[in-house]
Amino acid sequence: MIRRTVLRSAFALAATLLLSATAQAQLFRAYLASDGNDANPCTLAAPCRLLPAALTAVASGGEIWMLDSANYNTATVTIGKSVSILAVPGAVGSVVALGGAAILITAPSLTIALRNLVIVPLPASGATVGVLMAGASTLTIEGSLIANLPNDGVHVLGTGKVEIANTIIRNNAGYAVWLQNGASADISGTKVLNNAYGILAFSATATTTTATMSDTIISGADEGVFSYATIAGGVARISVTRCTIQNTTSALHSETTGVGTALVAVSSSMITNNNFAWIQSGAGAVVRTLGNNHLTDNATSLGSLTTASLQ
Amino acid sequence: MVRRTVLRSAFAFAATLLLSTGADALLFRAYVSSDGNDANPCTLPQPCRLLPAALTAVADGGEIWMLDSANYNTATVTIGKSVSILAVPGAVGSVVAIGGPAISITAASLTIALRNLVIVPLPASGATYGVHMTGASALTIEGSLIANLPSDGVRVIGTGKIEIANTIIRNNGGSAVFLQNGASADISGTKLLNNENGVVTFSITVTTTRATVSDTIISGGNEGVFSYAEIAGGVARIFVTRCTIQNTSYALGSETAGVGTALIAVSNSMITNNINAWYQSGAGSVIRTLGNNHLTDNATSLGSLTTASLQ
Repeated sequence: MIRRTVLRSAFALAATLLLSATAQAQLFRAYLASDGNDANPCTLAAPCRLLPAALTAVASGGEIWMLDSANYNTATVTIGKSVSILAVPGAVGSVVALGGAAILITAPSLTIALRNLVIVPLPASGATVGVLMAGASTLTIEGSLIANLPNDGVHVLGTGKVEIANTIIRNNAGYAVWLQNGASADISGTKVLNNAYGILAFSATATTTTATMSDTIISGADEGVFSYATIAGGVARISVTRCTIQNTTSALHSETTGVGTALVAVSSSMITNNNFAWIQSGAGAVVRTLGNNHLTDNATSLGSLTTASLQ
Repeated sequence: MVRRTVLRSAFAFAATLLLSTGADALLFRAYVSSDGNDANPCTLPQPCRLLPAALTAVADGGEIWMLDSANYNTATVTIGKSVSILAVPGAVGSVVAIGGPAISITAASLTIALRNLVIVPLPASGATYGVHMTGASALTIEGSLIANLPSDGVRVIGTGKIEIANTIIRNNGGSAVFLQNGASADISGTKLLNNENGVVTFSITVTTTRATVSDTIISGGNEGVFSYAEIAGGVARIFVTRCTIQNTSYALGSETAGVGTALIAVSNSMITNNINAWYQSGAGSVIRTLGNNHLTDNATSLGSLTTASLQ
């Protein structure tokens, strides 16, 4: 406490001057701490305890800082404004999933960042997914851990956009990242380890669902990357570069029900030690290699592999 | 301690409410700290001191948090349930090897994660390995340091599965990672520095032992990566991509005793400044390059190099 008490008093002037106009104004930065109290104003001097209080106190476009290692929720956290939520480096900023998702975004047009968070389920609590975004918002997840969920790590429905960087997503019983019906994802520098499934782009409506995956490892899963379309006009695409996909049942999977378009395109990657190097199934489904991949020691494959040229 | 004492009292309420149902229930999160006591219940207000007490207190699927920098064991820690053990960021979570390995996993079907740990030996204490897994469990090691062991850093015997990410394994007297008789490893974003050997797969039974190594540096030592089989039906394989192997005696080693199958497959990597760029010896042993590697300034090589095409 000494550290933070000093820090708080030092901050008082700046905070008063710069970061809030009056005691009633919403804060640019709202603070949480393990010894905070939700009756507090969520300032650095008087931090709150749990995320819902901070989300009420923070201004749209502001930030919530978790000041020390603790768990910061008691139920699903619904984020309804543009905000960055981060644990200060050196702290475990825990948000547990209990009775649903850990974090839920249903509103559109928000810009949300989650940084240095740890999202795990409370066992036997009815936890579902780590982050569920059903609103057409923009979400960045960086430097975080999403693990052990009984369902998907990150689940995006509709035309939301998610960026995942430098994150570990592991040991989830569903997909590491599930994208459906118009969602768009960029995944980079991320380790996707021992989930039941890897990355899914799924169009069950006449939408385009896309993921771009770079510098990422997928190890151990049923599906590595899986593009799946089930309706005419539905498009599902995953582009993969500088990745390793190993020890899965099917590393590159592109499938339609005979309608729609599904694509997995892969370059500069190693696909090894999988049961199926690729599965291509259904009219309009393509698995495309750029000819510079290291495919080795996979047991088999199904359907055709299309080759395109580098340019 | 002042900081944490306050933190603890503040946590008492939340911890009691949220994360355990009664004094006797096993904890979702068990806590250890430098001023803890194993007579405590391993809660945040009353943390334990050592890992065995926390492992008894934690629920299957739960977590153990090391709250500050300290050493958290006095003998080999045997992990017998699914658990994540992590030091909070900014703390050194030390587990020393004394009279055997630092960490031992003999049970099957567990899911275990070690995060932000430092594993070193107590000198002249009979220490052996850093992490020794003989049970068919799934282990993740992330963001950790495993150093100075008199034998292997990580040793997996049998059909266990291990993921190593963003970790430094250095100055060990044995292999950085030794895999034998059916083990499977994925190693990414990791530095293997100045160990006696880098990554070794051994099949001396009729099993397939394999490792996939991506975005990893192996520097110094006798063997860089080494696959070895010595029984008919035994398979040992290592796949290497986007790696650097430098300053070893044998960068890429594939050997059989005249029976079995041994493979090293390498792409997009730099192999430089080694005595032998590759060492291929025995029927059924193959060193396979995908033709896009940077082999330069190695003194010599032994046996044949097989070229395969990128796809």
